[in-house]
Amino acid sequence: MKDSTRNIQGWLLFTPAAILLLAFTHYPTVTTFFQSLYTNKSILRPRRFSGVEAYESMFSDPIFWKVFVNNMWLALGTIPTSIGIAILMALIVNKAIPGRGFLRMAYFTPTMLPMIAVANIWLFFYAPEIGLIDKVLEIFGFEGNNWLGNPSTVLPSIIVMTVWKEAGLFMVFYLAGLQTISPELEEAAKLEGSSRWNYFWRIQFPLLLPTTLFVLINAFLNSFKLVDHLFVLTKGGPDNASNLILYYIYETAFSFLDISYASALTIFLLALLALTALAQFFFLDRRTHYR
Amino acid sequence: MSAIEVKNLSRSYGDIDAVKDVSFTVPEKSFTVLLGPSGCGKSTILKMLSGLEQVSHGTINIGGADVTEVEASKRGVSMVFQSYALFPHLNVKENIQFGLKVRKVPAEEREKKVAEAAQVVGLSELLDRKPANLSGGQRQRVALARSIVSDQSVCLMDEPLSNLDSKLRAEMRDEIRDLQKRLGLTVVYVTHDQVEAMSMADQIILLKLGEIVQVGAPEEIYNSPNSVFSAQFIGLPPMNILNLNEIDVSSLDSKIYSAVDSNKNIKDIGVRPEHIVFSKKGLPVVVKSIDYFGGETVFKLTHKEKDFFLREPRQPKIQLGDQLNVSWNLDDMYLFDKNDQRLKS
Ligand SMILES: Nc1ncnc2c1ncn2[C@@H]1O[C@H](COP(=O)(O)OP(=O)(O)OP(=O)(O)O)[C@@H](O)[C@H]1O
Ligand SMILES: [Mg+2]
Repeated sequence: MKDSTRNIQGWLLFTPAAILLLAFTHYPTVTTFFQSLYTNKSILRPRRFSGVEAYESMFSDPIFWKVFVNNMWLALGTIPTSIGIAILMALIVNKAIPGRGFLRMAYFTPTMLPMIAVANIWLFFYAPEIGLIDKVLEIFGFEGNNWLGNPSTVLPSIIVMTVWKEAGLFMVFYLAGLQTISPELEEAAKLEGSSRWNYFWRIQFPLLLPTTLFVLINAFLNSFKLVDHLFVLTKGGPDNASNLILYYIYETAFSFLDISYASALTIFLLALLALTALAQFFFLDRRTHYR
Repeated sequence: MSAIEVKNLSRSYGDIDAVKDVSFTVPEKSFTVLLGPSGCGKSTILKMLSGLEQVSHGTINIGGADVTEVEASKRGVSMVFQSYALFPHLNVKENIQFGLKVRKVPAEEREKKVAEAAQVVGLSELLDRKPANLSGGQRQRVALARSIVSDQSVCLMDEPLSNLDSKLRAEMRDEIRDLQKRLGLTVVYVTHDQVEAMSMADQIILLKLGEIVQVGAPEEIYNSPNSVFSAQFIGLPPMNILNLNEIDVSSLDSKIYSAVDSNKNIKDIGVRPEHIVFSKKGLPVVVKSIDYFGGETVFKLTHKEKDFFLREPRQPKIQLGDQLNVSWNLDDMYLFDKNDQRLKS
């Protein structure tokens, strides 16, 4: 077959996917970008080109900064903890222990649940006075707390819930990573007198570095993408103490009907996620240095 | 004095008896090979010696002390694994000195030891390389160097050459043997390759289905196998085993015939391919195939339905389909009973 016919065939095969991608990803992205450059249309005033005005007001919007910082705290609070827990769980279920299959499933269950269901479960834990946590505290004579109603505890509460939900997923990645490590390495290390602790830090952890990088970036992306629970738990309150960028975009667009500003926020979030994705390509391409 | 003494060693996994009541000793500074077909329990025995595997029954003595319950790192053994077990993220130097660091050997002494060991196995130029950038033979040398720096007098090796091509394997065979002699190591070496066993061992322990079949020096097992299994496992092509019902006994040379006829317990006779010769009288055969190896020629012959081999150092003018007779010396014939055990004639 000639090269040109092969090329044509290739393009024909690619076309259906390209059309879908253009229609549902690229076109809306570009429209969103243009919408952010215009004011909102209303009965009183027509649409007019406003340039970067929406972006300027974004950077001077205290609520924007608040939700952005909240998002960063969420990332910081969930990622290291869930990675730590995930590694620990993976190490446990990687051992040939009785009941291993059951444990693996138990650890993975929270990940399989939809975020809304998770939020419902945790609503029951966090409910003031009648909730599980307050009930347990009461037994030990401690004062209860309105965990989700108190601005200083609402974000930590959501962080705990997110860790609970995400650690199981990351465990699966770590388990896969651990299983690529030959058991002979552990035997060799053991013969040299290496303790479990030493073996983990000198051998397993470095060999899991590519997995950690992958998980790190995905966890970061997830911390911006997961907002379903806010609909059930807090609606971003109290006083935006648990509000996150994506939820703020939703509110701006569909509650406050400020399409122009919502578009600017969306473009900001897109840029942030795109940068992270690029970092992922950049780092993960070089990760195989010792394979 | 023996470096290792194993008594009544057994190991079972559920219903599977991987090792059954095995006893043997390994003399100090000797090269002992555990030989046997796949699944006969060689690796299991080696792992029990190293302490990486629990024993079900029996005791293990290393260097005069009972180490049956002692943890792996305190037994005074080092090990070379089949897949080398190199740490992929560490360079050659770090791999070699891993154990030294664990044992907190001072940096100066560490440097010296690593340099020495690298020198011994010819790796001095490659200390900064990652294992992925080494050839199979070089990886093997790193594994050996790691075992050398550990300064243990006993070294266990589990099929260390099985991942190498045949030329390199022959080279490494000599090198390992040479190293063992030079450093005065006691080596227990696992293989399923009888050529490796024959060329390297001071003592061969031949195993079958978790049990010891025969223990002895290579020549000893070759010259006086105690069973059909020993006879056939060692030597290439293996010893021909001729069932008396499958051959025309009356055509045998008269001396051989009377030897075979004298004892009713004889079920099989065994003759090594190199001991069979073409002759005027004897078993009538048809030449079925001829393999030239340069230094020798191997003929596959058929007598009645039975195939067997003849090995000749020269290249006689014989062609496929030729009808000839073969015979052998009485002294070169082995006799086996119905339990496949050797009968001393
Ligand atoms: N962890 C285990 N669980 C169950 N059975 C095992 C285990 N390890 C070994 N076995 C069984 O024990 C027997 C001996 O195994 P072993 O690995 O010692 O054989 P080997 O002689 O080293 O064979 P090879 O030449 O193939 O390496 C085999 O039948 C094997 O299936
Ligand atoms: Mg084995």
